[in-house]
Amino acid sequence: MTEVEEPAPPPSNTYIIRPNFQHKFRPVIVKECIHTVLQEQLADKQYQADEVMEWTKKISDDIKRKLKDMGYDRYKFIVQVVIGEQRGEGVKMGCRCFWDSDTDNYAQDIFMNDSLFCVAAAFGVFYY
Amino acid sequence: MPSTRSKEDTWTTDELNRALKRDDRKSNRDRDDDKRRRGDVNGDDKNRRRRDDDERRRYQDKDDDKRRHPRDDDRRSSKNKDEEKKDDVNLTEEEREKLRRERREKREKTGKSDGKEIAFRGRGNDERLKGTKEDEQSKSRHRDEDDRKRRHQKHADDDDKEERRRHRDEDIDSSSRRKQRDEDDDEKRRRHRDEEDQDKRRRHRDEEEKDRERRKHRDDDEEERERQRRERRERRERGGERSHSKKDRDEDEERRRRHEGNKERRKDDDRRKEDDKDKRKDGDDRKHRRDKNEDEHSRRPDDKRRSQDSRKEKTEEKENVDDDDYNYEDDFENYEEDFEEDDEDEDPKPMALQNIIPGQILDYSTAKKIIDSEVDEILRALDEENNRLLNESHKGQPSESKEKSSNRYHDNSDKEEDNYKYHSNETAPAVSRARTVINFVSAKQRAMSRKTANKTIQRGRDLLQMLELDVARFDLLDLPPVKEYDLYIRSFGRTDTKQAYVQTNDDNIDRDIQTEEIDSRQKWTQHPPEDFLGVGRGDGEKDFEEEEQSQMKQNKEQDLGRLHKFLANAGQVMGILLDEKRDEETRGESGSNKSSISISEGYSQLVVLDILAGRYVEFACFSPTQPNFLLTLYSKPQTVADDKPVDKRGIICVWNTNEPFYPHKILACESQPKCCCFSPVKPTLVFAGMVDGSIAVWDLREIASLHKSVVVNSHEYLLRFPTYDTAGVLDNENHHSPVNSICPIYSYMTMSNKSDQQFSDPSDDSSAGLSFQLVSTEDMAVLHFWVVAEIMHPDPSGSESDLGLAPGGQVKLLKSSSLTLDGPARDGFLKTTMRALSMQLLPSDPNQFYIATDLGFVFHGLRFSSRAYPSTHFAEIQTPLDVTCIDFSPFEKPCFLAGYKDGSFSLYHTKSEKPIMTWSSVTQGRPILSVMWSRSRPCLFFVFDDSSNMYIFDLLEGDTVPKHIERVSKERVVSVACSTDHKATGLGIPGRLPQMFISLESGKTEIHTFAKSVRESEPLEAEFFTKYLDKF
Repeated sequence: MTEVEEPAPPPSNTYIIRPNFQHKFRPVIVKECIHTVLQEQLADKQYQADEVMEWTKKISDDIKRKLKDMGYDRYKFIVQVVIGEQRGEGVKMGCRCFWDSDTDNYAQDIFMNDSLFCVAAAFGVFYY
Repeated sequence: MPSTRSKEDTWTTDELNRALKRDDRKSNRDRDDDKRRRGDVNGDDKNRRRRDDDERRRYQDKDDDKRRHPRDDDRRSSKNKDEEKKDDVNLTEEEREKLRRERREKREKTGKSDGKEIAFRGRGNDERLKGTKEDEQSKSRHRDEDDRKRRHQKHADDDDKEERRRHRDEDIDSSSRRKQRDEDDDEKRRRHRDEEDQDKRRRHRDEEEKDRERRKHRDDDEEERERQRRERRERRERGGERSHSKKDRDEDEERRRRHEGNKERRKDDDRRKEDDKDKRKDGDDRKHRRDKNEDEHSRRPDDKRRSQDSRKEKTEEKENVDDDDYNYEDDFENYEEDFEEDDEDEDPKPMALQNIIPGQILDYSTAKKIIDSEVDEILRALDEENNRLLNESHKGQPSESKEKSSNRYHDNSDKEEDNYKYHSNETAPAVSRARTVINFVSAKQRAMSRKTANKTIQRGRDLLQMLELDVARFDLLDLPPVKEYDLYIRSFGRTDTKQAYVQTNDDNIDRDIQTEEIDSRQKWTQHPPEDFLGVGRGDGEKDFEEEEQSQMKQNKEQDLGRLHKFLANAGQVMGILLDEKRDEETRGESGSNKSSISISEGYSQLVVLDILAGRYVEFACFSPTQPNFLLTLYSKPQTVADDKPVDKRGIICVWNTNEPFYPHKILACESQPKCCCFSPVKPTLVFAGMVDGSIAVWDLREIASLHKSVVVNSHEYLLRFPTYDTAGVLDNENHHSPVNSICPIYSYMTMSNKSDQQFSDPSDDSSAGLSFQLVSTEDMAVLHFWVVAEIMHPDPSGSESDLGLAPGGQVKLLKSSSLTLDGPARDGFLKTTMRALSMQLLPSDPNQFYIATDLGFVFHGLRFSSRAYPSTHFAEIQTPLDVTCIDFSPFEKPCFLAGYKDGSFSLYHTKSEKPIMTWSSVTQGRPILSVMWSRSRPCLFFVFDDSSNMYIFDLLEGDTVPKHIERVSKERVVSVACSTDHKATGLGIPGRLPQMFISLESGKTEIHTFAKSVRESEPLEAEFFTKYLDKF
């Protein structure tokens, strides 16, 4: 009955379940990024139903590209852009996320002028 | 040879390849073993086995190492990976061998104990059925199961060679039969499940702990099944490799032999088999559980270790029950064969070929070795294919999901994907070349993908344990609806307006402050006034109409002027009526004072007004038609006082003799009047001749407001100024000397004839009375004839053209003609100028006038002819002396009396120059003041001298001496006048007694009513008088 143990049990898998602190998704920075994108895309635009779809695509792509450049490795991004016409109606938008609040976060910014409002939200989801 | 691999490990292609090569090697070694075994028969089996096992275990460990290494190195670059692995393998090989040896020793002991335990258990199963062994806990059982599994793994370590070999043979046999068996995997599984159910049912009666276990068991069911399948496949592959190596024919033979032996033994064991059916089931269960435990073992190395520990402890206890292992193994084999039989029964068609082939193999194995191997290959391929199909059909969904997950895996982890691809590309063609079976590659890939999928799933599970997911909600946008006010502000609020707010309280109240309007009124005044007031409201134009209207209204309501007019008129009427009544009443009395004069029944005195104090009546005149109206012309006052404005003026009073207490009207003028008279028909106009030669006219109808009143000694006197005055107006046409006489040219005779008519028609009377002519005689013996013109529309503001007309005057005088009288040139007398002292119109013909001159004769003139006959009436002794007065008989007799200054008086017939009779010494030289015919009796006349003596002559009683001589008053009588008698002459007011006015120098006046003897004429007196005149 030697007490010699097995040379450590087969080492279990190791997982990175937290992002590097430097690379954590920070809403403030992302919001700024979204803000700049919105401003430069929509600064002097009026609502046009035909072009809004393109705008949303362009804006979301821009935001996504910028986010990728920001060095959030191991993050997956979801960018949602909604443009609506300002007619005085009330609008409510919300989202519900099932995620790990420690790592995942979102940032959103709103752009509004007389004719339209634009809500851009970017969700960063940590990929383990 | 049961695989000791832990199935959860995902295999990389590298690993797989290596594993495949190793299998080849192993199979070679096996072959060697078999040869050795054949040579040694069973004696050395044990040792050999051990060696084999050692080798095997070494390989296993290696595999494990390898397996672990790649997992650890997953994220390393693929290039380094292989080298590192090799290094690892090389390095650890020797060390591990040592370790393994030690472990082996341990396991030998444990294996024995395991066997005992199993045997014990097998026996104990019956007891378990009966509900015993309640104290056993699920954990310990787990360990037991682990032990059992170990025992399976380490059968080679067991001392029992027979059993071991049989087992081996089974394995080898199974390689030939495996085609069937694999194909029947599902069936087995099904049956397995059934058995499990049976087991379950059996266990139902067991303790609750078992229930718990079963539940766990069931939970893991599917996973176990998959793992079994995988295990079997691996085994098959290994077996396949082994089997199709054609050098294994010996083995086959041996297998066959053993198989036969098995059969024999089976028969021997049939009895026991039946007894141990339960055990067999249990064994099955155990086998099943073993798989699971392997699973658990690999997953939880701690458990494994723990079980090993526990094994060590239990070995001693369970050494006694070694023998029972045999039974178990036998049962196990029988059990497997049962499967085959069942399979054949149940699946006749699809299994036909497979049944036949094993049969052939079994029967003609020696003859057709080569063919067999070939067939084996084909069959195996078929086997794979069927397996795949079955898997797909049965587990369509899971496999798909796995493939998906594997795909995902490929997508997500690029590095791994690359790695995988690299290896698969390398290996897959090699395999296909080697095996010449295409399906096999796909199956391999599928297996690999399954493994990878499993890996990801496992990974997911592990992560889930570490992580905590939660639900987070976020509001992305909350844009409230725009309110109307906001909209308004947005659209208009920013333009030019600025919003201001003021908070007001309830107690804030506005108060108005306003100054009162200035009450302004407009008044006007006008002099001389248009109306009674002479003042009014409103400013000419703007308010004129309304003012007029209001004034009209006011006038209508309270027009004092009209009232005054009315009162005046009415008062006049009333006065007249009252006068008449009083006359009737006082007819007998005729005065309040008894007079000493015989011809007077009594007298009344006119009041002497204060303003007229110091004056006396120079001239008096009754109205011929209305004898109660009396004009008294006052002399100039002796002393003129400045404080009495009236003193400077000439005053004429109009009296109603019925009211002697106050003058009816007071007429004033600037100059001193010398003579005056009423208008002929109605006493509405008064004419007066002034000393300055002017003539003034008063219209008594004028309202009092037009005239001015003076206050003297607190008494107010209304002085009426002339309506028309010729003074200063008609310079050339005016008189240039005092006017001595004035009288209207009117024939009272005709009027008296028509008197009844006139009275009955006063309107005619008035109209007639206003259109008449007037003659005035001045001292210079110039006669002026005037036309009295009535202005129908008097101008209250006065006339600019006619300055003599007072404002509002209705009457004016127009000079029609004038006569300058020349004295008659008689014999011996030079034609000299004469003075006209008095003038009388012939009552029957107003065109003939008689003028008393200062030359002792009466001038007779005609108005429209130059010469009249007789032109002069001389006294008998022609002397130039003043004719002081003349008086015509009122009874239309052509005679007149003339009085002279020397005290004589004469009676003249109008047709003769010489007088009828002259009385020269009656007055004894005293100047005759006045001669006066009685208005009542034709033959009676009165003569007054300036010594207040009155001489009454009655021609009926004698014409030489007066009938009576009476001294009227002690004072000097200034003037005398008589009123008309209506009864005698038809003039005047009927019923009114004739009166005589006597004014005294003291200012007193007496109005005597004639006594009855004087006022009533004798019968035939008029005829007598006519005869008397005719005498001459």
